Amino acid sequence: MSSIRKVRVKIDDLEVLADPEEKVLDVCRRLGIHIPTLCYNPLLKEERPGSCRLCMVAIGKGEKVYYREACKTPVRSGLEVYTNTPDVHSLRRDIVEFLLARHRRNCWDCPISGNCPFVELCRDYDVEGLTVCAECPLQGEECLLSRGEICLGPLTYFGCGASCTKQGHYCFGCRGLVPHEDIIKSAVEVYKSKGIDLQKVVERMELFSYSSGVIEKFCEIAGVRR
Amino acid sequence: MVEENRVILKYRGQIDPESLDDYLSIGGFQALRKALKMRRSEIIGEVNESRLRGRGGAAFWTGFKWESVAVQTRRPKYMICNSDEGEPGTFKDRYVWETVPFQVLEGMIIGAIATGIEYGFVYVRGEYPWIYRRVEKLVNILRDEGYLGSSILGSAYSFDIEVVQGAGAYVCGESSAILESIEGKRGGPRVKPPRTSVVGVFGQPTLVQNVETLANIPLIIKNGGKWYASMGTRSSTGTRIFSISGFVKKPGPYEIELGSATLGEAIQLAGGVDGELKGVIIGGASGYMIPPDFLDMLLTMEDAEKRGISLGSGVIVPFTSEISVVDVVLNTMRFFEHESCGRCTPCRGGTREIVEIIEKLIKGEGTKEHLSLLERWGKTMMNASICGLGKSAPNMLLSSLKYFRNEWESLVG
Amino acid sequence: MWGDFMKEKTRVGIFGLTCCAGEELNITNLEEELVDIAEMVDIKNYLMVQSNNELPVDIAFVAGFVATPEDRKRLYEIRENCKYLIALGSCATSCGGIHNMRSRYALEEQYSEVYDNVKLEKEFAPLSEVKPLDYYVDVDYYIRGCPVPEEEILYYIFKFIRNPPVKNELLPVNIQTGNYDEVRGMAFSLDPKKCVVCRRCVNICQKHIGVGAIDIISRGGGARVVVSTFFGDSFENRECILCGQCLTVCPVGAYSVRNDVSQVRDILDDPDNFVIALLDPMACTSMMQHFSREENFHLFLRRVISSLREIGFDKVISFTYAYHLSLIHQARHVLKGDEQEKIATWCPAAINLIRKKYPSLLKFVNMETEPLHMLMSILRNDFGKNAKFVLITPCVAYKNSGEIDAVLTPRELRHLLSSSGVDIDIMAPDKVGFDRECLPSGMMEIMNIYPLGPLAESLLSYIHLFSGSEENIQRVQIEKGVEEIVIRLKNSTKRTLIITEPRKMDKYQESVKDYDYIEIVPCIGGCAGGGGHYPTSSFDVIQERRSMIDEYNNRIVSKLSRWALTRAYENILKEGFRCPL
Repeated sequence: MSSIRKVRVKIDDLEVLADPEEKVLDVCRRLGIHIPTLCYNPLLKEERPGSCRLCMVAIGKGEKVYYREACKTPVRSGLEVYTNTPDVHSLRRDIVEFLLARHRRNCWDCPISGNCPFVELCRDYDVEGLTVCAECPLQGEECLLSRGEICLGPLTYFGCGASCTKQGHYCFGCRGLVPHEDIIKSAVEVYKSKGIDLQKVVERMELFSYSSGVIEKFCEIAGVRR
Repeated sequence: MVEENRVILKYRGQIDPESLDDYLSIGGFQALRKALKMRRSEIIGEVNESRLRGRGGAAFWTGFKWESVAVQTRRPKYMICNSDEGEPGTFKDRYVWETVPFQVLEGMIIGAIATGIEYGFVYVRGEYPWIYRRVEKLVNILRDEGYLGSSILGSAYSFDIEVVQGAGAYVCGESSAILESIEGKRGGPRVKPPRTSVVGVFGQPTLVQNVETLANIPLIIKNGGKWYASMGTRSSTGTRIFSISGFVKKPGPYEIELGSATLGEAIQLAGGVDGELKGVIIGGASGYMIPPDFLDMLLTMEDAEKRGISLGSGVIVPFTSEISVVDVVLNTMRFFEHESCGRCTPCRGGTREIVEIIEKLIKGEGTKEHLSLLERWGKTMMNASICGLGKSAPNMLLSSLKYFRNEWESLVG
Repeated sequence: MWGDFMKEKTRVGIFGLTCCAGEELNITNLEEELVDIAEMVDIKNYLMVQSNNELPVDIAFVAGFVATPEDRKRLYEIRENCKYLIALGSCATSCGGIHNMRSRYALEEQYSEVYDNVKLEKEFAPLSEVKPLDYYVDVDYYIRGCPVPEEEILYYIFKFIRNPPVKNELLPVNIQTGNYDEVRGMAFSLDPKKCVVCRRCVNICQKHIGVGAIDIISRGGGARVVVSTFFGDSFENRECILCGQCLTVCPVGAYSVRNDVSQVRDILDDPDNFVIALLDPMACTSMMQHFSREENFHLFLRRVISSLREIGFDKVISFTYAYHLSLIHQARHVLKGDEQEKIATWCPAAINLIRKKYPSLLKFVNMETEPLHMLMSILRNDFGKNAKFVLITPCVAYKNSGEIDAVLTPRELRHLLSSSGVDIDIMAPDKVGFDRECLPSGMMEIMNIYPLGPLAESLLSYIHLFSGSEENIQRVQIEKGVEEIVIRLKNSTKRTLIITEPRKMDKYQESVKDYDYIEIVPCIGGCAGGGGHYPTSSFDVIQERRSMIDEYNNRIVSKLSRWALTRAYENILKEGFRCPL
């Protein structure tokens, strides 16, 4: 940080002083205002692609509002930044959906399950489409399914931090089963590949979700009956 | 009945486009000789007075753009004549190259003198190989005759041109993507700031101009900026070559004085529509789909803006009632999905997802929520994309949802 | 940041239909925060804690499910009298809850069983199947869980303070990844189907390492644009130096290390094998960070050693021996001013970089001084034919080495241990520590020291001993990623160049002749940032690993007196120190 002259900017109606060489993202990080990022790499701060568009913030208000990426927008005197308006939220949610839509969700075998950025993104921006497997750090041979346990992780809504599986106990599916066809299909595949009896899976699903349509769909795809 | 006002294309068909002598005989390069005796600020002053706006689609004030490059002190500076013309429905630039090509090159040289540029590129899209060969040929002629090189017509100015070819990417028409392409990299936009006029191709200040814009320059210098501004309206001076095609009887390029004709009159000029007019696509694939209510709109930039649309690159494509609006939108979104460079998430993801949802709707599996989803995603693409491709790809979708909603709603029953 | 939405006078209600009242109870568990919340908003309705309960409210949190007609009436009443209705807990959000079992049997049966033959009222009939709240009314947000932990409720309350709830959306499209095959490699592989085109790996490889073995390919929307090598060719066939920095920075786990766990298990299971573990203490740092509750690194290392013995390793030797062998040898040659040994060989990725990108500099590299090579020549000699060696290291480039029977990264080691039923945290720390057979006794302790930081500094200690003179050392940062260290000895000056941003080597390859020793460190943070560690993008995490090693080193050094250190080094010189070269 050089600088004799600082600039005044407003972030979320809070007036702050910033170095003219800083970008909006740096100022927000410094103040503890959370802006999600993906392509910004703290290990290589100077090379900012600015391409994931997750850090978009609103500049100005009302009719004249426009949106810019926070990681590359320089501060200037009088800049008015809003980091969390409903429009910004909606925008970021769409970005999260687009990112997730082409990402292979094989969380049970993923090197970073338990530490995946999508978990935080989906929770902050109200996107549902991840399962408990995304939060569970056990994978490959450590996965409870590999030990023959009937874990409902691949079918259950994420958000609990996989607290049961982290303690070594299979997932009950207490948060509810995700009614997304893709998830049910890949769950069936995982169970088959790990040699789990699909009938037993259905029985376990019935504990918390007896009347859920997901069980019907699962049976249809798996070819078992209740 | 409205008529064309051939200003740029005044001598079309009357000269051999590749003959320098023919061009000289109609007064060619008189503007250049005049400019060589003017100060730089005077040249830019004339362009400012003409109030010429870019003809590529963004309609940026040309004089202002020249000034912002002229004040850059870093050397060397570059100019790029953007002849990518990738917007579906546009063929005016090709037409200019095919009729009065020397006029464009003269405009480039004048621009280079005015802004202190010594190297220029003409970027011709890969799909126009005959244009590429012609421009190369003409550049060689000009160099031989002393209009290009280290001493233009014996003056102290130097300027030379290299002709480069594109390779079939729509995104390379965008002014920062064209820089990447010329640098030999994968074509895709840069996040701005810094602006192209400060950091452009090879990291140097760069001026990017459209073919038609440059073709106006010799006329402005020869006849004066005031003369040019006397045509058209205050905010939209001069003429524009509209590419009118679709269901008209006489498709082709039509040079119309801005403000002298309405949309309907322009369509009549092109022979009118055979059948019942359902709507008009204006601005190209990244343009808008408007209903016949717009026929009384004057063809100027400000009138379009007032009504919430934009003239874009000057494409006018009327269509009749046998066309399904949803099919057109699907075709457009498939085009953008194919052409998206893939750099930013909203465009890379949004184009694909929107195509999928529209396909679902057409199959009959869609719901009302899908329509609001399309609107939401379209808005996100407009706000969050890096470049014009992503920002304007949803225009067709959103305008059709606004003006032709009943066709969409009939799909969800 | 207090926002606009939930502020003073916003009326909140917390309701429960038929349920265990778990959520309502959990909210009271918030204790301190509840007082703050009660000041920020107006809790108008919360039957569990207050007697003055009113409708309407602006936001209603509703837990439980509709079991009786009264429940249904109550639910409609709440919906009528609130702006946002938030379903709280599994009973409300999905057909969740243990009560769900009620759906298995006909309601009449259950009723008569419980109430002893009293007939079921007809209003109950439509409620026999258990349904979530959104079957009856419009729900504006779903908070799931059984019960919802109070931290989660707090998170959502703070979230709704900024903005009104935006209904959770299930991903509207099916996931369709492209049809790119995995890019294979000896050390690691890349799955393009997971790529989100964030460009982190490409930027690291192009801008930091200066190699550019990977780039974004193709064009178009959807899953067409991904990261790959040239036509998907395997990494080692292309320009890749196998540093593994792409693994470190990828946020979505598209890169995975080649898995040697089953191979190691086979080696251990064969009774004829004598298996030796070469354990790099740096590998244990990230293991402790990510997988352990232990806080003392020295203890953790001892636990790892006992875990290794537990699963069948016959010997556990510290890999730092290899570094010291190489260092001592290189120190001698730098002092002599030997041209052939100018470029450090202790980083396999750096050697790959020279070989692939700067082959003209190969004449300054003596491959025989490569640490693993030096150590293995001694050990294979000592332990004979049936000995199998397994290297445990955070370095991904070693996976491509032919000298060793298997290589395990920290995570693979953890897999091996936990799938054999060994929990490192409960293993007793090994009493012996590392085994010490192979090397002369006098210098054992020093060989345990992990040479951190620029090699030149470690070199310094050897130079001091070999040259027997005073030295003074001066560090100058020439530019970002390039550092010069000048060591002034009694009779000469040695200049070393440390390049931590390999791309800068382009500039300095001509200046190699001006220096006595050059070291290139591709991994960010040195070996603490090796590709085999658990991925991280935080400098703090990498720095923490270095501090662990620092602490470990200090512990060893503090146990040795200065006299003992000097004696130890002298012993090396006297015993003509056993070096394979």
